[in-house]
Amino acid sequence: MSQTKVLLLDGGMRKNGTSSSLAKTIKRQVENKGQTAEITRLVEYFDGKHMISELKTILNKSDIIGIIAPCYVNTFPYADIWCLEQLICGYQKEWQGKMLFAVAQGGMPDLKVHQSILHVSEHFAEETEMKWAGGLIIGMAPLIDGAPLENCGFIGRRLVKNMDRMVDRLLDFGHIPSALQNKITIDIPKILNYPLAFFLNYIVKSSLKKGGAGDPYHKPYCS
Amino acid sequence: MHITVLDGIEGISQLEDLLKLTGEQYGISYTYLKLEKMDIQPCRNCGGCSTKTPGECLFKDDTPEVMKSLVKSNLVIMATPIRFGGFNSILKKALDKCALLGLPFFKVDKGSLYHPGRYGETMFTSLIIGISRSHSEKQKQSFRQLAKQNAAIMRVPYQAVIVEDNDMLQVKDVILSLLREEQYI
Ligand SMILES: Cc1cc2nc3c(=O)[nH]c(=O)nc-3n(C[C@H](O)[C@H](O)[C@H](O)COP(=O)(O)O)c2cc1C
Repeated sequence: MSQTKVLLLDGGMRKNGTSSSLAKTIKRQVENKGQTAEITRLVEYFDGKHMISELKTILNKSDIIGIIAPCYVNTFPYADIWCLEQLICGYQKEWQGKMLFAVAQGGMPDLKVHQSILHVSEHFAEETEMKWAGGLIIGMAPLIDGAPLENCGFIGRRLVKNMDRMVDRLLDFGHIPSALQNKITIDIPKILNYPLAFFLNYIVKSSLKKGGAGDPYHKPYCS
Repeated sequence: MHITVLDGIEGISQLEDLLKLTGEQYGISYTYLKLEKMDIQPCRNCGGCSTKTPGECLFKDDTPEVMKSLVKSNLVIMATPIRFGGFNSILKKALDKCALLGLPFFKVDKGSLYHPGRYGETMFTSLIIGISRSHSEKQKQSFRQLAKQNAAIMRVPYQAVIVEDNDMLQVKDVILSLLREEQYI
């Protein structure tokens, strides 16, 4: 039997950011199940490091395509949308019936603020006649901040376990069950957002100190 | 009263003419930005706008022109063709840079986390125009949801309208009624 080929489109702008860490985990999980996976960074096509035609070629050769992207102002970053637009320009019939899934991750714990990434991916699948396999949304991504998931304690372990189930489902060419989303969602009571904000502000203040910036409240564009 | 138009429409758009007419008729100042023609580099999430040059991007491009206009605006009009139920890349290149309008710190309001504005709260009203070319109801729904989330993250009042095939008469009506509602005309 021929191997299933999974293509993972890393939509992160940082080379070793959280999108990249999630993509690496999925790649490993696919390979552990005896199939092949390849990661390619979308921003490198935007930057002209590779040609979009090369992306189309690897897409043609893949059976399952996954987009793993950070949430920028509620949806995909600019460079990722640009790549999707370029892909649709040369839409190829060969993509028909391939499976597409997405993993969205962002800073805020409220998952609905990242929902557009899954919507956009689903509509992209419709327009290219790929089969939409669903996706997962991961909030509070700064807690991962590009680290290997295995080093992220309870949160990381929970993600690894449920992403592995997601991979099982995808390799069976099935839809990602919504129950998996519930399993990775940390439903924190709203009241806990106060200590969370305190903790996140502590991290921000430490990095500001390290960066040596001046006044963090500076208003460069005030007339 | 100042209006900024972030025009993400590809190719010729009648939005500039429409703004010119409205501006002249009602004595309103405006900045029209044809984003397609602007050099706005993607945000690389380098963190420099918090840790090195607060509120400014380290990369030198046309972003300051956009920001200078936004911070003095009462109304911001954003226009984009509906692209996969969201915004196109041309509008998105400017929107990503709007992160510069927020502070890196977190606050909680009504139980939800948010970044407070660098230039104060509720800076402007936002009008988000989606151009549809017979898009499915599902794509339009996704677009409306994204517009709602965007206004929520920027903590600004908003209206989202979807017009079929660049119907500029409808756009004009929407702008005028918004200006009336806000008592600018
Ligand atoms: C320009 C910009 C906009 C962002 N907008 C949002 C947002 O709207 N909601 C959110 O939860 N996080 C937002 N974030 C945070 C990122 O989603 C988060 O840091 C993510 O983990 C970055 O992914 P990466 O590590 O792969 O670069 C934004 C970050 C940047 C740089």
